[in-house]
Amino acid sequence: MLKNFTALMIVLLVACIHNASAQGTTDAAATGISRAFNPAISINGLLSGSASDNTDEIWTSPDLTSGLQLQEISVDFSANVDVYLSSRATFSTEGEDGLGLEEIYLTTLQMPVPVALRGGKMLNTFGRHNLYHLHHMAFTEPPLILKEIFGPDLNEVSLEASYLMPVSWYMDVTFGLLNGDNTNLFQGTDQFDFGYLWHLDNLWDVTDAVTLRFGSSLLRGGRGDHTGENAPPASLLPGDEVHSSVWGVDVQLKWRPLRYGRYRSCTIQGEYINTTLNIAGHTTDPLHGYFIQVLRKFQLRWWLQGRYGWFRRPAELSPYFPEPEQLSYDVSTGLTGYRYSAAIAYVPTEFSAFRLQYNYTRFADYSAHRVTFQVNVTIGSHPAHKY
Amino acid sequence: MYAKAGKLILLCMLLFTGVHSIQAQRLRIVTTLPSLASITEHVGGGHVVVNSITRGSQDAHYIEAKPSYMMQLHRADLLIYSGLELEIGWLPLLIQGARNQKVAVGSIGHLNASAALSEENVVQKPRGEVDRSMGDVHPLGNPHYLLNPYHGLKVADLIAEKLIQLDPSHEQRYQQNLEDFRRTLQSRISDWERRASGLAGLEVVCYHPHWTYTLDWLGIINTGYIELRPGIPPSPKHKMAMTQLMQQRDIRIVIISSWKEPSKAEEVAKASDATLVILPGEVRALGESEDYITWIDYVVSELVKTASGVVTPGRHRHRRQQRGTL
Repeated sequence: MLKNFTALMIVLLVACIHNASAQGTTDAAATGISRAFNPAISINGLLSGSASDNTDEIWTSPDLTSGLQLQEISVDFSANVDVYLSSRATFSTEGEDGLGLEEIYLTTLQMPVPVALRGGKMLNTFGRHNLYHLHHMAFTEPPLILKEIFGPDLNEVSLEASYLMPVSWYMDVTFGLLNGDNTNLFQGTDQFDFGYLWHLDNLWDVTDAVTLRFGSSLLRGGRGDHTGENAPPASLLPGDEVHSSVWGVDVQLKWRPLRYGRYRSCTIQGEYINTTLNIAGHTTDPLHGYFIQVLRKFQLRWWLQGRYGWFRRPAELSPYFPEPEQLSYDVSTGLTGYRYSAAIAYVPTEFSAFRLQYNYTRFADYSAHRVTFQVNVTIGSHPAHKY
Repeated sequence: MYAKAGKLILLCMLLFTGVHSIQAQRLRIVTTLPSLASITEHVGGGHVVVNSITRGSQDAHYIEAKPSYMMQLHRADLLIYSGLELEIGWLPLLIQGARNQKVAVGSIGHLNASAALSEENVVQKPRGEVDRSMGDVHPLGNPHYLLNPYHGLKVADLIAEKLIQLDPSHEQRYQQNLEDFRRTLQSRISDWERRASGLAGLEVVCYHPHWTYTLDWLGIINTGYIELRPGIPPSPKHKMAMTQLMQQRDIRIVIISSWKEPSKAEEVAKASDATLVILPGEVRALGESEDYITWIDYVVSELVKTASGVVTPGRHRHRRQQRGTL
C-alpha cells in the first residue's frame, strides 16, 4: 500500500508540475499565455516491413514475424519547469495499440551539491542500452538479454540520485529507489518491496578521438507476494521470501576523429547481465547473457552494423520468467538462445533513417531467418541524445 | 637520511600547495570554441585558466556531448559560448550533466557571447517560418560571427565586462589587457583591409554558409553554395548547376571549411577550372592560426594569395563598376 502510494505521489507530482498553470491560476499572470514557454514537442515514427521463414508461427514475438508493422509512434515533450527543474514526458504506442505513458520524469537543474535528482516513471540507469528509446537503438529491436531479464526494459516509477565524483576522469555514481513493478523481477505488492539500484559509470578520454567507457550496475529487490503473472511453483511455502538480484557490466569503446568526425566513426559496445533469485535462502543458477555490437560509420550518411547476443536461462528459473511466445521446449533443460544481426543504415539527416537488417535467431531447437526494412522518422524538436 | 627525505617531502608539499592555491585564485573558464578561448586569454591574461570544449579541427555543429566535457564544465567558474544556437545540439546536455550552479543557465557564470552583437550584426536570419526542408538552418541567424574581427572586438568588450564582474579585484588588469587587445586587433584590421582592398567585388562560391561574415566584411560576393541546403550535401544536378553558374560568371574560387570533406567541392572546382581554398574554420584548425588574430590573418592571407593567383587583375574591379560598387 505504502509503495503504491509512493508511486502515485511521484507520478502525480510530475503530472501536476506539467500542468502547473492549472494549479497556480492566481499567479499565472506572472508569465501569461505565451507560445515561447511551450515545451519542445517531437513525434517519432518507426515503420517496418519484415520477411521471415518463421512461417509455422512457432513464435509470435513481433521481432520474429513477417509483415508490415507500425513498430512504435512516440510523442515527446520536454521543457524546463522553472529555475530548478526540467521535465520530460514520452507517450508511445506498442505496435498499433493506443498511446500509453512511457516516461514522465523531472530532473533537477540546480542543486547546492553536485548531485542530480531524477524522479518519475523512467528508463532506469542500469547499463547503457536500457536508457535508449526504441528509435535511438542501432537495431530494430533491443538485445535478447535485456528482453529476457527486463522484458524488454527496466522502466519504473523511481527516484534516482547521481553524484559526480571528484576525480580526474568522469565518474558518476547513481543510486536509485525503484517502485518494484517490473513483472519479471519484482511484481511485488508488499509495502517495502522496493528495488534498489546502483550504477557506476566511468569514462576516459584515451585520445582526443577515442573514449573508453566502463560501467557496472547492481539491482536488488523483493518479489512480493508471489501472485503475479510469473508466479513461482506451488512448492514455495507461505512466508518464504524471494529476492531478485541483477548485476551487469557495460563497456563502450568509441572512435570519432576530430576533423572528419561527421563522416566516420566506430563504436564497439557490449553488456553482460546476470540475474539470480534467492528463494527462501537458496540462490538459483543465473539467468545471464550478453550482447556485443559494432557500429561503423563509413560515409556521411552510411553505417554498417553488427551485433551478437546470447542468453542462458536455467531450468529452475523457467517458472519465473516468461517463455518465448508459443515456443515449446523442454523446460527441464533450460533455454539457450542467441541472435546474429547485421545491418546497413542510410541516415540522410539526424531526423530520418532507413535500415536494412538481417537477423538469425535460435532458441533451443528452433531457428529463424528474418530480413527487416525499417524507416525511422522524427518531426519537431527532439532533445539531443546522450553520448 | 630520513631528515633529508622529510624535508624533500615537505618542500614538495609546499610547492604543490602553492601551485594549487595559485590555480585556485585564477578564474577557471570554459569556452565552447577555440576562438572564444583565445579572446578570453587575451583579455584575462594570467588571471584566468581557459579551456575550449571543441578543438579547432572540429565542426562545432556536430559535437557529441561527451561526459568528459561535463567534467570541464563541472569545475568551471564561467562558461562562454557562441550562442545563436550553434551549440544547441550538445551544450544543454553538458550544462545539465555538469551539475555546477555557477555555469547554469541564468547564473552569473553563464555568458552567451552573441549578446555582444546587435540585431543588425547578425546575418542570414531566416524571414518567416522555418522548417527542416530548408536544411540545417539557424533560426536566430548565422552563428559564425567571429569571422568578422569587428565582432571579435565587441565580444572582447563583453568578456572583459564579465571578468570584472566575477573578479573585480583585477579590474585594472582586465581593462589594460582589453585595451592592448583592442589596439592590436584594430591595427591588424586596418592592415587586413588594406591588403584585401583589391578583393572587393570578387565573386566566389562557398561550400557552406560559414564564411559569410568574412566575405561581407571584405566586400567579397558569395554567388552560391555547393551544399544543396545548409548541412545537406549537393546532388549531382546541383553540382552541375553550380558548375554552369561558375563557368558563366567566370568564378575562379571555391571556399570550404577545414572540417568539411572536400571531395564534392573539389569536383565542382575542377569542373569549373577554379581553385579550391581550404580555410581554417576555427583557431588552430590549420597551421599558423594559433590564436584569434593569427587565425583571421591566415584567412585573409589565403584569400588574398588565392585571388592574386587565379583572378586577372582588374576583372572584378570591372564587375564592381557594373554593380555600381565603385
